[in-house]
Amino acid sequence: MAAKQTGNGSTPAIVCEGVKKWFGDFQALSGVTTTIGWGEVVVVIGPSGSGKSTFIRCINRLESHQAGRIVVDGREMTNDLRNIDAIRRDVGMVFQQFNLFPHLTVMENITLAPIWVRNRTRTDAESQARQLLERVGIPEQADKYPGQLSGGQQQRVAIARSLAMNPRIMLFDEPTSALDPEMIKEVLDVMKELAESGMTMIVVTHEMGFAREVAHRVLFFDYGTVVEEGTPEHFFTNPQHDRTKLFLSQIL
Amino acid sequence: MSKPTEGPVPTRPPLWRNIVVIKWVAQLGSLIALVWLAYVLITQATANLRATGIPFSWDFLGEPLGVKLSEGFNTDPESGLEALSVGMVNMIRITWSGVVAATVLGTIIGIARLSSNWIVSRIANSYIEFFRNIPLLVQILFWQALIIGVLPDLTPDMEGSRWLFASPKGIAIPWLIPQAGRWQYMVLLAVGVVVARWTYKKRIEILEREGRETHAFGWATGVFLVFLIGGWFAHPIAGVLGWLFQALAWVAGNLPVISFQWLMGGLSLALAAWFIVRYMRKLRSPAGMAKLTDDDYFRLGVAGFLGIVLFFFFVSGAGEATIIRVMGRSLTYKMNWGFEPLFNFLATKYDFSGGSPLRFSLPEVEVPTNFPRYASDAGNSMTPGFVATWLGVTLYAAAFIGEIVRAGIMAVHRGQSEAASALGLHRAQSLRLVVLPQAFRVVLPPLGSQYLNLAKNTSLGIAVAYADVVQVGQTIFNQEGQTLPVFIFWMAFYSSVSLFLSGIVNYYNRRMELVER
Amino acid sequence: MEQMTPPQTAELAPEKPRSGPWAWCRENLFAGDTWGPIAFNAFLTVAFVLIVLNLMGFVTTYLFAAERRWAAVTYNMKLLMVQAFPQDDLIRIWVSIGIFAVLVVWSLASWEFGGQISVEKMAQGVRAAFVLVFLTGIMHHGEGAASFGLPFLRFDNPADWSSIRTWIELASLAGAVAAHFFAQAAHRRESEQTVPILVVPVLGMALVTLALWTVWLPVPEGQFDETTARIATTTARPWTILFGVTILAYFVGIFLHRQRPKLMRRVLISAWILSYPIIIFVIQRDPILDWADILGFGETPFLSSDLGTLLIFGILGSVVIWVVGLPPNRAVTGATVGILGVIVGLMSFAFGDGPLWSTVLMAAIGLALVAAAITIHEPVEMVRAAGAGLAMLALIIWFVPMPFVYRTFMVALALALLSAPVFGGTEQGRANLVRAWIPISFLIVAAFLLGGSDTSLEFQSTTFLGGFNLTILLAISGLALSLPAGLVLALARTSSLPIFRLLATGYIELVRSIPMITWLFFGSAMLTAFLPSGVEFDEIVRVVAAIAIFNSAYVAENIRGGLQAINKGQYEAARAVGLSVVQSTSLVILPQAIRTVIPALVGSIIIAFKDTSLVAIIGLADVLLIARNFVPQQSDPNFQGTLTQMMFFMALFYWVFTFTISRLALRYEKSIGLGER
Ligand SMILES: Nc1ncnc2c1ncn2[C@@H]1O[C@H](COP(=O)(O)OP(=O)(O)O)[C@@H](O)[C@H]1O
Ligand SMILES: [Mg+2]
Repeated sequence: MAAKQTGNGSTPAIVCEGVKKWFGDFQALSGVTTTIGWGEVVVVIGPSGSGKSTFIRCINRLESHQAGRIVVDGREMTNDLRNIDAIRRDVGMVFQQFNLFPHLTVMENITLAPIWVRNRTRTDAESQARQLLERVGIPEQADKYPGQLSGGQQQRVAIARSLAMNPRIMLFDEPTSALDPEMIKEVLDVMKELAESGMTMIVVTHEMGFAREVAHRVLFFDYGTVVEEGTPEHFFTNPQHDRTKLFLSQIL
Repeated sequence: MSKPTEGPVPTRPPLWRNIVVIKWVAQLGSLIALVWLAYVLITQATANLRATGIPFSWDFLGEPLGVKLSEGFNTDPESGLEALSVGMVNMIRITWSGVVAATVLGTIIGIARLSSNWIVSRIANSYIEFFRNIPLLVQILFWQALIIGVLPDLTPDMEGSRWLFASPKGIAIPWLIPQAGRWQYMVLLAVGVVVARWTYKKRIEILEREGRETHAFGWATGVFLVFLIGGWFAHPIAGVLGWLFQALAWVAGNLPVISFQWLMGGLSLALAAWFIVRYMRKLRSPAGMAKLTDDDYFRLGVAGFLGIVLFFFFVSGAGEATIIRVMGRSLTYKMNWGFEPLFNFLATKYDFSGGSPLRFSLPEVEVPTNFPRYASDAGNSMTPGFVATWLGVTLYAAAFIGEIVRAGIMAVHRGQSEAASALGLHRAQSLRLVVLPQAFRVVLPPLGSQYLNLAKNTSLGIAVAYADVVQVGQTIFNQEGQTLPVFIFWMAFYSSVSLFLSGIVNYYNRRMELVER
Repeated sequence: MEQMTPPQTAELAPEKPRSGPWAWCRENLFAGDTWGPIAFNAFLTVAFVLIVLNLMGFVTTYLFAAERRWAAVTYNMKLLMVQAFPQDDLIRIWVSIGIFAVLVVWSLASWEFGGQISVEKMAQGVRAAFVLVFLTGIMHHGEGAASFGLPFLRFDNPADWSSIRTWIELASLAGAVAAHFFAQAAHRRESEQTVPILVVPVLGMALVTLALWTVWLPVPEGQFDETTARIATTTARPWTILFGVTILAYFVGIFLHRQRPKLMRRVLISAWILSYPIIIFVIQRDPILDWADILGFGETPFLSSDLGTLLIFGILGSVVIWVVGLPPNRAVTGATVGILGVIVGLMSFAFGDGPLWSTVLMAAIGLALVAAAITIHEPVEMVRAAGAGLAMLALIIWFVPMPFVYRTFMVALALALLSAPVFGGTEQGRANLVRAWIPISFLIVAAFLLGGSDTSLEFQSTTFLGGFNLTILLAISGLALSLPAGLVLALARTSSLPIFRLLATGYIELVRSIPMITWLFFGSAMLTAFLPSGVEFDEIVRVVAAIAIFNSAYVAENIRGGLQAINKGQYEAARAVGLSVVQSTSLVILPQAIRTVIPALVGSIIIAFKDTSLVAIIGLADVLLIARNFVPQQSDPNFQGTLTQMMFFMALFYWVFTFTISRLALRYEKSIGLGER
């Protein structure tokens, strides 16, 4: 396992044990158990509706799980207000639909949370934002509104927005699914660079090339649970489970 | 690979940081604060009113009012409740006739707005811009001013009947005056509508099965005409209903009260239990029982709580008193009110005697003294107040309805009707089968809220002395000083009207949605 | 917004060969491919032309008949506009209008309102206006003119034409012809020439000014004093000055905008908010308003005068917010919160004349709550708990005898404390909080001046506010109150918390199902019963409260529409970057929601404006009541029986206002490009 230990303590980055979640009478997660170490890049794949999004949304409590436990950075996800706030601050998330704030400029999008949550001064936050924009490759777009950017640029702004909170874990929910093919690469490049810098990442994606190249581990989801997991080589060349084989044959 | 390592021992968060606790404490706290505030306000009001010498009481409902009403089924009511009933009936009268007229006019305007004829669409547009930009009250007062100030007075030489009278005393038009036989006739007409509908469906079924033209609409019209004409002569048959009403009156009057109490109480519990069971069943799926969230517990708790509260209400003395009132076993505020009197009344109307249902009559002017006036039993003479209010609310609502209809037609316009004609439907068919059903679906919700607005707007009749429920209520509280009870009465009445109207709209809405799938 | 222009021009249909009037008629009046539709359309055209001509004939004949006494309007203009406002003090009204006009033009300058209108379009508009005037003139005829249902046949009876009307006819005809040729020329040159759209209102105002100096409106016979009867004599000069000031102010505004655009906008927003109390309380104030009392050197001791109250709460609140806005350490926060609790708790003693034990008990409970807050270990949570405790305290002693304004201040302070951890926390955040607190204090004191009870003075606004002035006041005050209330209701109705949702839904549906007039009765006849004995607000205030109760439900539904239009992802993204619930809502959701509902809100503003006319029913002397009752029935025998024409005037009056607002709203809607989403 290539995961580097960058966390502060001895606890792993994320621990999930028997996580279950219902929407009304529909069970979206039926017992997810896995552990993710610091610096690990985990790619989650699986058919649509299998609960991938629900799983990573439970990790930063956009959905609350109903049974089992999730421990992020040594803090258990309970109903504790303080833990939830702290975890949200430390876990960044990038959405399929970007979800940039359309009424704010790119700069304001990125500095909003640092100013209001981390209490940084505006000049401070803005200089950091400029560095981040530089890092995701669009330093010249700072004063535009999201509506004036292309999809790929928007998604890179969204990544910069998450990074501005200095998260230690990043969640990606199908970050390239809403993009035109020629823009996918620019976003994946940013994510690769991020992974190389040692960020702990969970990525839901259908980009198998990305999974092969970058992932340390692949989780295959079906019917709300992890059906199979393993290193990319193992997973793509020698899948064990029938469901996995079927899925791979359809997608590759 | 990595087995789940043991994280830190899970600790329960302290109460003041527990989201669920905060959430419910905040809600319940606000609820308690509100209830407490309401309690304080009510005690305050009670004390204040007692200090002014007019303590809160409903007695005025049973006391003679000593005021004549300007119009209604009883212009000299014996009690406050009776006066308010007259007001309510007047309000309903103006509302339903306004709704019908505004719908017709509004539809015409909406279609005219889309006409290719420049003049027609311009006129429709000006109509809309004109009527919706002037406050309704100004419009009503304006119509009243026109009636009073511009129309010529009645003169003695006008004595006799004509087709139309218009004077500052109001407007009189020919009318079909209901006679004794109307009750039976109405039943036959209702049956006719049902049978005609059924026929229509059957003919459509045949059309779909056999693929031949079945003239469904013509058949339905024919069937209805049969009832319309045949019913005129055959309506005494409907007298059989009299026996039904007698039986119902007996049940309402003679069954022991306790049986109604237990019936209603049992019904409340059963409803609550049904809700809970259904809810739980929905949460169970093949994968097992879902874990209940706090919101689920809240819903179940509220359902159970309401069921139990209602049960105890019905079996208690309060429930007994309520049921006695509702059944009409005691005189309510000097009015024969409740199910038993209602059924008895209907029973007397439904006998087998004949008598024509309606009588056509022209308005007439009579000159009993020096002053000519409209004869009360000829034609339909409408007071200036009624005419001004009716014109006001109708023309005002028609402007809004016109906009709604236009938007509805635009919403389905081009593509749909083109697709329909591509399928080979002719214009009428594509209108009936494709465009109108869809337009209706778009139009219905805003139309419903316009009807509600119209119903509420009739209250402005008070400005021109039209005796609707608000005007009567105001008369009462000016006389008796009982402002709060009157306000509560208004609230109850108008909420019921709203609930009724929105119930109808929702019913059709749901049916439309089903049609869509 | 500039980027939007090219697609619009691109959408224009390809240039058609110019069609003559005949082709136009053929296409629009007698359209059809076969004889059937052509005949049908021809029938419709002719029938409706006849109907319209007859209707216009009737209306103009009525309006200009010799026995109409339009002086009922012109002579009573002051009554209609401001009712009993003292004649000598009318300058105050003019100053109010002036402030309003300057604010409007400065806002236009600052937000770069504008756009251009092509010369051709403008010429066409002018032509249409002249034609309208001309037609109106033709329609007008006197008694006994022969008519066959075709009004233009009356043209042959010029006997009763007054000379002035002939001149008007000729002038408008000439104007129409000139405008027509101008438009033609502009069209032929295909000139792209445009003029700023603002030229149109400027021209309108200039015309009014010109008319005021030149047109001699009819003066009734009898006891009228010629010098006062003519409205122009009193309004011409102030109006002209106003006109000049407005134009001047616009250029000054442009200059200021060029210098410091951001500062100007910020100042303008504050100015709009402050203009309301300033106009009501300072400029249009009741002439008997006692400044000594307000400023605290009259009979009332300084501390309980309005200025004193303002100073105490403004300074106390600012200091508290300043200290806790950037949570220092526990000790300082604790001390501040504790001192605040003691001061506020003791206040109930200072004014208590109810049973002492109840006051003591309530204060004790409140202090215990504040004390409990101090035991919490983190400063931020301490501030939060103190806010909650103060809110409880304020609610508890709401009914202890003390000036209402103090209670209100306590509630406001509690709210400020509750929001301090959310919006404070940074230097800038707490500065913003303090900056917000000062105008809030000012507004609270000002609101209690209007309320007129339990402050240091007696103030009967009903006696001097009336007419159109009152109409405007009611509309603006009702809206100002119902916007925040509607916002809270909409948030509650869309929240995930079931009890809040239930309460909000119940309130909104109940309020909306009952007609407004019953709410007005509630406000004017019943509201007082619910207040502590001895507290009584002026009727205008009570009616404003009733309007707010009613409007807030409608505003809430509008805002709810905007909230629901916003993608759920926005809220999730805001939460995911760590913003709290309140921050996500106020920084991310609401700004977007408000933007989408502005057109609907303008709709509510129009409705609110129209609905103010209902106060005539409960007997407030708004412009409608004056026009309907005072003028035709009471003021003067000269005007007895002018009811119908007063109603004509009212209809026109309201129509002009509402129509203008709705057109402006439409223009704004287009300019922000609602098609964008
Ligand atoms: N808010 C919700 N309410 C009800 N059902 C939901 C909700 N969110 C997700 N689901 C359901 O849960 C299942 C899993 O969804 P999701 O996690 O989005 O799947 P994936 O991301 O793997 O495609 C889906 O069947 C979806 O319909
Ligand atoms: Mg998904």
